[in-house]
Amino acid sequence: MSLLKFDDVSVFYQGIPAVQNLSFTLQEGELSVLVGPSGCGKSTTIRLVNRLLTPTTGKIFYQNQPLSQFVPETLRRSMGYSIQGVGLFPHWTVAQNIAAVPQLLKWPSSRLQPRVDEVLELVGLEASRFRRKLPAELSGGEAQRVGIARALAADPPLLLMDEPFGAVDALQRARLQKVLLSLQQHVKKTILLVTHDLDEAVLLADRLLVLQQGRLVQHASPAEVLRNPATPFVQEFLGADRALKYLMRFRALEVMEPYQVSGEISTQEQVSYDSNLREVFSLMVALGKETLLVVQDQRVVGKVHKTTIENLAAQDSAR
Amino acid sequence: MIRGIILVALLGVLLVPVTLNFTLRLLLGDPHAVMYPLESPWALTLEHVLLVASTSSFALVLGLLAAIGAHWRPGHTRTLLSATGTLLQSVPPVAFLALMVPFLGFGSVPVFWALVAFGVLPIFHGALAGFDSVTKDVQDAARGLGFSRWKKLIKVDLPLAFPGIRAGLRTSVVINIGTAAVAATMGAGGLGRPILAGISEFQFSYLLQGALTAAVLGLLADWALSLRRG
Repeated sequence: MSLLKFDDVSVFYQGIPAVQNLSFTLQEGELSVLVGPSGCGKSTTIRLVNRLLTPTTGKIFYQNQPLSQFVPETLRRSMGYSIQGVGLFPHWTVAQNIAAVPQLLKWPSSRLQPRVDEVLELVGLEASRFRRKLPAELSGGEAQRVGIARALAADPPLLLMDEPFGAVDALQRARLQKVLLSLQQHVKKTILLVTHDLDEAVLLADRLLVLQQGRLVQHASPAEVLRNPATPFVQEFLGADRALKYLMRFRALEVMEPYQVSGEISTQEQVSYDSNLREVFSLMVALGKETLLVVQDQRVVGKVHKTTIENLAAQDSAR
Repeated sequence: MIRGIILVALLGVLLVPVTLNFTLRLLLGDPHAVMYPLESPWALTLEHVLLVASTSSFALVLGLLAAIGAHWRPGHTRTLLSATGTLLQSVPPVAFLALMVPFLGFGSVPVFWALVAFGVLPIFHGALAGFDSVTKDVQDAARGLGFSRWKKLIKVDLPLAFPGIRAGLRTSVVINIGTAAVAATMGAGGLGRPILAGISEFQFSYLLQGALTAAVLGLLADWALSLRRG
């Protein structure tokens, strides 16, 4: 069964196409990322899914039924929704915000608080500390996490995320990306995420949907897109460093050679076990090193060789 | 809180005949000044309060409905409602009442509707400002999460618009207390009656009684409607 399927969908605003002849099927349990430059129709596409917009032509199927057969409110309650501006209700506590959809679905009240605590922990926030806070008391990153927790609260089969990390600084963004990845390992949702940031797309996606001026130009795994860009546009959009981009998908832990060391080590020659290989490679170039030590819990657990990374990049992307 | 207690005490002084007469004599420096004799100060004030309360309640309902209409239909409907509101509010209350006569005639019923119509506008504007203060992200999230139009209105829009609605109501009620006094010229009862009698009979004490009581009522309403919850 396919959870979500677009069949030749187009949207026109006063005769001008925003999305044209879009056809794709989302793989269940995968994180699919809609990516493209601004104005390419990616936000339009995601808003079609929960019927905030209606296609001019073409059909969308959700759980094998035409989308038009659903009552919009019922449909939206069955999909998680998280947006760039977060849009937490300022007059409700974090717990009330998260319980919004379960309450619309009339969950018994005894289930609400355990569920609120559960999803708060999933997004890496301590439930006892955050439950009673008001949105105004949260930092940008915390608000984004609560927004994701709210989207997850009713355990929807499909999660829609429109630039979910768009409003925070680079450091927070990297943290939130890690949160999303580790969360996805637990919940295995079907996720449709929109971003204009190609690095974010490559890092997160099981499958990329590259849009150009309202048309889907490539729908494939990040490795495949980086290896074989379908059009000159995709190649240009990926940039000249696409071999390096591919390295983001691997962590130091995955390619290191086990290694133990005793005694003091210089902080400059080590990387964290969960650093991605682009970061590791970049550090090697900066330091002029051929190998770096990998550290976990302040203990050296292995070392990474520059040649290993080079081989990986050459093998998988530039062939 | 102290402001409230002082205002209530002041109103008390103006409602009891003995203290009212004393106050009028003190203020006018005339030992023979008397209060308006045809109706007790209690009855006059009660009439006034009832007129204001009933017309302001109607105005609140109508103003809210108009604001919800404008909020839900942001296109021509909103422009039309908003422009009508602004235009009507630019007319002074006395002129407004006079302008209503050809349509509604004289008497307490037309005065009632004229006061409602004049009170609607600040509430409409306040509520609309309140709805506009709900950010686009919050609106988008509410819709995207699956709130129906009514659920969104009751759970999100109205609570968040509350400060604007309250501010509008406050302006409306305070204006209404003054306008209702002017409405005596069109046949309404209340504190306008001693004012009118004072003007026509050259009895400054009647006039002062009506004006003073209306002013204290206005201050009291302004204070009560600016109290914060909790």
